[in-house]
Amino acid sequence: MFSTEEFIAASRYYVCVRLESFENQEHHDMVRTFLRGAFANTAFCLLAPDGQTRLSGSGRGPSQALTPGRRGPGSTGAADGQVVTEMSSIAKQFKPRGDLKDQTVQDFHTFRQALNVASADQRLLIFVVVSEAGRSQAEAALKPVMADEAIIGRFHVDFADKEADKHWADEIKKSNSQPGYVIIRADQFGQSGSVMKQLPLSASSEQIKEALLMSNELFAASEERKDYGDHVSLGRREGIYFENEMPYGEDRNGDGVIDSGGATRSKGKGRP
Amino acid sequence: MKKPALFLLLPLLILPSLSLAQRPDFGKGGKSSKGGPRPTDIGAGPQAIGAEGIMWYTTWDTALTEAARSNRPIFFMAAAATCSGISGVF
Repeated sequence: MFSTEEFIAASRYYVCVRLESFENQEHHDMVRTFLRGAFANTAFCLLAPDGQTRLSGSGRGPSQALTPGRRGPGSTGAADGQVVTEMSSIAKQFKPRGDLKDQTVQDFHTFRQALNVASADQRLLIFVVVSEAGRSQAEAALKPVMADEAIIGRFHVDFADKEADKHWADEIKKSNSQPGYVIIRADQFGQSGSVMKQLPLSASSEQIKEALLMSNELFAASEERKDYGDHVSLGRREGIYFENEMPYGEDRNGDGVIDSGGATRSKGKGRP
Repeated sequence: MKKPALFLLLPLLILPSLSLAQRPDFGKGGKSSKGGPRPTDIGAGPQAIGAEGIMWYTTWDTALTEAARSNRPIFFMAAAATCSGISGVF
């Protein structure tokens, strides 16, 4: 559903946020809020710009949450087209303001999560290695680029301004740890990667856009869409493990404890 | 031969319609603890590599800031970029 033209077009009238469910306690708690105290690996809700007022039902995904009264045994929720219609109808309640070219630039809590998500989405990661003092200037150069029709929704962005990001270059091939806009291709399991292109912080918006387009073209020509089952099978064989702050598994009865029999693989490869 | 009861066939009709966002978390051995599809049954996503997709924010703070700035409503989603601890997959 998320990859259809209609859905992507409808999503542009929203600020779309996707949090990693297991990343930290804050995300974990938000999932429980939308699942009536239970915990599962996905949760969904439409909210007003205040981030508090609910505009839809909530549930595991848009199909269920946007069709109140249709739940029950055998219900698969709304069809994709109906979800898009509902989303568009709700968005009309709000009059967007400001220019998209001034939009807030995406960021992650940590570089390792950014790399993992970039790998999972199979998008290139723009990693901005910049000091706190230089961040606003870098953001100003990136804003119009990230809003550009040829760029929007094709990359992820992370800023290297967190303590946890200090050693980002350790797992990245061809990196030099120098400040700049670093275009990174994550590896299959998102725990390492390689630099495709690096630009200095003095690069203009136009130069950044050009580098992104070129890198994305190379990426698209040499990357195959992952097969979920093959990926998981290979991960099991190779002992891949990615540790998040929160334990894997679900809490279906909402008693605050992760149910037994969940994902309890032992740690293998991967940074702690 | 005895005909299977209709309720036994229901999961076969329902599960293929799950979207990417609703993929269940798989436990040990690749089985969903809800009896859902195995990872081997899911396959690859349909979107071309490098193609336009959803513009995601990945922290709550940046999303709230952007929503306040633009007065756009929020499409909230939580999902795992792992399957049983195996990274690099939604």
